[in-house]
Amino acid sequence: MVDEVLGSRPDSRVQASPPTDGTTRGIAAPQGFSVRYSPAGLAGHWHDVAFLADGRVGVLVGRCADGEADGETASRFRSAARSVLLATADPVRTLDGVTESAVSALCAVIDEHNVGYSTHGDASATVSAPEAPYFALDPTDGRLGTAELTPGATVLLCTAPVGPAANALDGSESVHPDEVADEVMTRIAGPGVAAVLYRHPPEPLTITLAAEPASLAVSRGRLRRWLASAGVDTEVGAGVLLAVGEATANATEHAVLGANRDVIITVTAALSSRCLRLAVSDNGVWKSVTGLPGHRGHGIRLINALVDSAELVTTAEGTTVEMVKELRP
Amino acid sequence: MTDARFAVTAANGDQPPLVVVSGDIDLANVDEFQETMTEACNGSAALTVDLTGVNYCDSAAVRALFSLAAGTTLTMLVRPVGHIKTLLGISGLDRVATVVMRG
Repeated sequence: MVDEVLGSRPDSRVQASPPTDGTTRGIAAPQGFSVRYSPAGLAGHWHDVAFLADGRVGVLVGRCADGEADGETASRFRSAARSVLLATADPVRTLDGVTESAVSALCAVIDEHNVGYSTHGDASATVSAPEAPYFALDPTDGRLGTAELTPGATVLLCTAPVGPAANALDGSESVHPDEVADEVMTRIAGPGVAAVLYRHPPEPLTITLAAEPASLAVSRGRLRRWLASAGVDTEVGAGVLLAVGEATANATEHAVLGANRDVIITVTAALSSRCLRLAVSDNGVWKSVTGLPGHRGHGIRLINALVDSAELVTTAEGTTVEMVKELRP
Repeated sequence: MTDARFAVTAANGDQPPLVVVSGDIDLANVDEFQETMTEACNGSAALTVDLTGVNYCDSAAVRALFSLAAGTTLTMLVRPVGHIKTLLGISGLDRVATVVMRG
């Protein structure tokens, strides 16, 4: 894998193709993205995911069907296109130089609410919003197209039309994008494609439960499903689950030790700009919490080790543990 | 409800008693976890706990394991990846018991 920094802007990062590891799985991709090549090592196809200086994300997919010159032509187009993408963040200008009929390419720029895109040839984009049927974006032949991205939407960018394989997107919003990408690739027909699948951050999660041990598994199960729907890496997600689980268990133990009213615990999770914000709140008004066993230190140390920042906020209304986990590209 | 299964094998010759755990462990079932280990140990000088099938456990489980390790030679089998390895390292449990990577 190539992972290079282009230009002078520190956050203009490009994660690049092609894969050489002999598999369509396991291609390193940033948070929210899954990348697949079928067959593995497919020549003449490429992709780039670029973090633009303004916080938007640019995606390029392309292929060149030009016989012997496949690799070389693809490499030249790709290099030119990504330079323009990083400099302009403009899908139309990015594909301006692409005129050869042998080249199919698509450039998409994703912001908080929309995807702007431009296509050349038969590279395709498909959008699937939660609880709605998927739809293919119209080819633009070099002009600008836009589509709204609702929370949890999935965008499939492919070097060729995907046809009925896009059926795999319907109802997939709760499935980890890695699994959705695998399912799309098993259904896709044709000689070879490269695909980039993107999952837009889902609606924030709010879980409200009674502060009792039996609630822990319920809360954990719902957070685990939400993390998968947000496309969070499985290992990272397991750490987040443990950090939130510790905070929730702490609040539950507090409650068991004797609040003066029924205690409700609220767990929230939100994803934006590759940053997970998690909070565990309780409405307990505590009797003395002195004399707590010394083992409580484990939980706090653990939380601090598992997330990038953790803060305990105590007010008359209760206690909140606020945690932030950066999801690095 | 938090769901875990425990399979206990009694000591056999040189082999210490073995507790194989699968599923989740948290506050809701940690007492059962601790009782199972204590009964399996039954005064034996050593105990092996296989945690490779554990999907989730937190510092409640660590406390139970610490308390076991205080009275017996504890060996834990864990997967080489995942949060349980992290949990044991951060809590310092890996300094009072033997951790064997498995699977």
